[in-house]
Amino acid sequence: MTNTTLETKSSPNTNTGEAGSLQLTGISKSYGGGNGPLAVDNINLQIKSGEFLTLLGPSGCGKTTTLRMIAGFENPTAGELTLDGEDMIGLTPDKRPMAMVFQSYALFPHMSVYDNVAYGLKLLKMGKKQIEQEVNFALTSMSLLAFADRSPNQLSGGQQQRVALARALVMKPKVLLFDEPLSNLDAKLRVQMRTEIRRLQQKLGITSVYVTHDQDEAMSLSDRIVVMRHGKIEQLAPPRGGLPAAGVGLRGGFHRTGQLPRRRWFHCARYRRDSHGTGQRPRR
Amino acid sequence: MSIDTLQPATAPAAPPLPAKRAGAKFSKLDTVTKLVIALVVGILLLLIGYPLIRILTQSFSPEGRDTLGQILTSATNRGVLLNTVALGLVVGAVGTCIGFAFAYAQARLEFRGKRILHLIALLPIVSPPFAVATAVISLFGRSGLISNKLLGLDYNIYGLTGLTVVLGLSFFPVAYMNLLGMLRSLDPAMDEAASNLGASKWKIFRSVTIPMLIPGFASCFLLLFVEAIADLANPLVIGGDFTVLSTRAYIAITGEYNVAGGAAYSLVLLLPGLLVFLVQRYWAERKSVVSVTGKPSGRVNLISSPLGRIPLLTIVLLIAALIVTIYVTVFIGAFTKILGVNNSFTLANYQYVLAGIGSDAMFTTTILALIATPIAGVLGMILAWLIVRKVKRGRGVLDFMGMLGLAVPGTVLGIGYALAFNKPFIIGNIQLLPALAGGGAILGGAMAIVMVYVIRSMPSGQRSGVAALQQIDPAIDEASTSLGASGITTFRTITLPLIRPALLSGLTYAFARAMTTLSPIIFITTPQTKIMTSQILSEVDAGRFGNAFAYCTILIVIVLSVIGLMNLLVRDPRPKTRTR
Repeated sequence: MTNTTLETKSSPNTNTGEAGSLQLTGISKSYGGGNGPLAVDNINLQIKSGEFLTLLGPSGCGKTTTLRMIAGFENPTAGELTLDGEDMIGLTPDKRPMAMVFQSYALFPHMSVYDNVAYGLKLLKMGKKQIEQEVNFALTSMSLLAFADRSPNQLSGGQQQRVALARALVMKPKVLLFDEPLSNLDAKLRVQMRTEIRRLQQKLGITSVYVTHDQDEAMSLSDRIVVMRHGKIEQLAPPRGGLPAAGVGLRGGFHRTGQLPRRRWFHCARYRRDSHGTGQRPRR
Repeated sequence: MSIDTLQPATAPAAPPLPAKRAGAKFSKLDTVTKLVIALVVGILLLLIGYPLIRILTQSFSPEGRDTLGQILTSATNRGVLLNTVALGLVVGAVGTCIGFAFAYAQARLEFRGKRILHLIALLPIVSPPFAVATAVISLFGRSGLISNKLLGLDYNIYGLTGLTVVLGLSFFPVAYMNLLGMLRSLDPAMDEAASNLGASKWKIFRSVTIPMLIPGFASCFLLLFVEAIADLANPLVIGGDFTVLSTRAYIAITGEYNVAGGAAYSLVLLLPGLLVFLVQRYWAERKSVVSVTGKPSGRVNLISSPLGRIPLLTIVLLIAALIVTIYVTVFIGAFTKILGVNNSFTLANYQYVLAGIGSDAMFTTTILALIATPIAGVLGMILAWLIVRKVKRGRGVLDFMGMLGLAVPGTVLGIGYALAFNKPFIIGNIQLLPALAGGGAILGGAMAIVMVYVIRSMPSGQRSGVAALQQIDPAIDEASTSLGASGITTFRTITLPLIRPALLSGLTYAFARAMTTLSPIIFITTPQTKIMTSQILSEVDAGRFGNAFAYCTILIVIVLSVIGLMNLLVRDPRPKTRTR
């Protein structure tokens, strides 16, 4: 993974996406009518402009639902969501200035790498010349230029992941959303990719919300970590300091609540062990 | 109409839709999507809802109620009803058995020429409804080539025997395809486990294979039962005095001008049709113990011992030989003056069909089918997209409405169209639609024919679309939306290209079906708009078998060449080079 040229060149796109600040106020979500159990329960969060915030927690804790509500794929049952003071509730995902990187990458299999990255820009009715500049810039910065004409399924998992990232970044979104983007990669690649994501994010200063169940990933990436459980925020802390010593920190953190059933934790721990080498997290 | 039944066989991969899918929730519908839903529902209501309502209202009008009352009380009508049920049972049993024999031979026996046997088994699907019946009459009829000339028998094929042979041969490919799919998806590990526990091959067959396939047998039997009782073409040609409900309804409408009576008879046909459709789709497929994992583990041990092969292969090859003989008869019959009477070579039949008066029907049918096919295909795809991706509540209803075009027997559909569209559609004093069908209709009634083609063939597009969409990760749609594409843009730029192969195969079947449909068409054709299938019927009625054979051959050639063309188009699913 040779590094990005972002440091030396500047993007030709004049419309530099300003980093946005997100405000979640009393966000709740219940499936199956208004009275069902709450998948997300009264989340209050202020995400500062340019901040990298991670939602961390075991499966079923509501972190992905929260992310999908920010993106607009789910509608909150209650609560407010604003971006730079602008109300987002009721806006369809395509109207929100955000871009998402999916766990399954969700590359369009019938388009070349180039067309995948150019897709969103074409929808903006940008000129061909400018699209070419933007896409080439994004592909170069991800060391993907050589693969521009390939079909996504001719690429390795790591390359596919970088295409997905380039496709989101090229949009210059105000907020970048990550839904466990690294969980389909092998352990070594995962470590490489998270360094890369962090560097890009800091370089571009894009506000980012990142969902993961992997504690190490959260620690190495984030400005702040939100630990979720049962749809609620359990802890909110910078990666070091607020939590007990790194490595065992979150495990201890979960335990001390005294309410978490052991079986539940085992579930989470299994994923964690997976994250250190062997298997992959089963896809949603 | 053998082609009408192709879909359940070829698309077993589309299970009934689960009520709710986890992980993919699409709660927000944008305005455009809502408009699309309204439009599609409107089209469905016009194409299938309204004709069915007209059948109901006519059946329960005073005259209709008379007929309904007589169905059980009058002895003649009771006989008709019994005939219908008997025909359905016999054809269901015979067709399922032949289908199973072919499927088992194909999947489990070791012999050469499997590919050819497969093609022979599928031949009846692409052929027009009369090809088999007419050829069987020529071969085994009163002065048939084999029965009379060769064996010197004075044999009467007309009636239940002839119908069973013809319908069994026409419809067994449905059972064949269904059971073949099931046999192939049976986990070979189960055979291995049984044999490991000490079971012989014969024991495995009886105690493992057969019990696992019972839902499949049930569903094939039901499908064939409904196909058989709903068929109109073959009972007209080879039924003789053996009257069934569909021919009774046909006579009521075309002979007795008793429209309400015809509607009442067709209502009796409609009920079992719908019931079986529901049972087959929502129960049998769910009960099926066959696990469709798409990943067969291990290889089946093909049976190569003569004891296992010879009895079954003999039966299968005899039937295959019969099918080949029938189609050779059609082919040769088209080149002879009167097959069996005057066997001299002639090109007059083809001249009649290709260049003479008959060519009119050929062109009209092809053009109307070509108009209807893309409409049906696109409509089916949009419907599939709504069902799988957009509509959460009421997707079952939407799915059912779309599939109605297939579930409703053709005879019933045709009568419904005649009732609904022969007169202008007027509410109050406002004329909403002019007459679309019948003699006084606009465009010579061509519009109603296209509508029948569309509603009859759309379900195949819908099915293949649903199956294809369920294999596409919803995150791909979401990625597109997240990059700023609206619902419709996503459908146009992402979904549609991805389901293109399914769309094309759906279109192929739509075309083949449109070209070979008879029973709904026969009630709404007009002198101005001649349709090949109904022309074939009148040629057969008039005893001009040569012309009928020529029509059939041409029809088969048209259908096969379109299927071939579509297959060429479907290939190459690679991404296009980038568009800059």
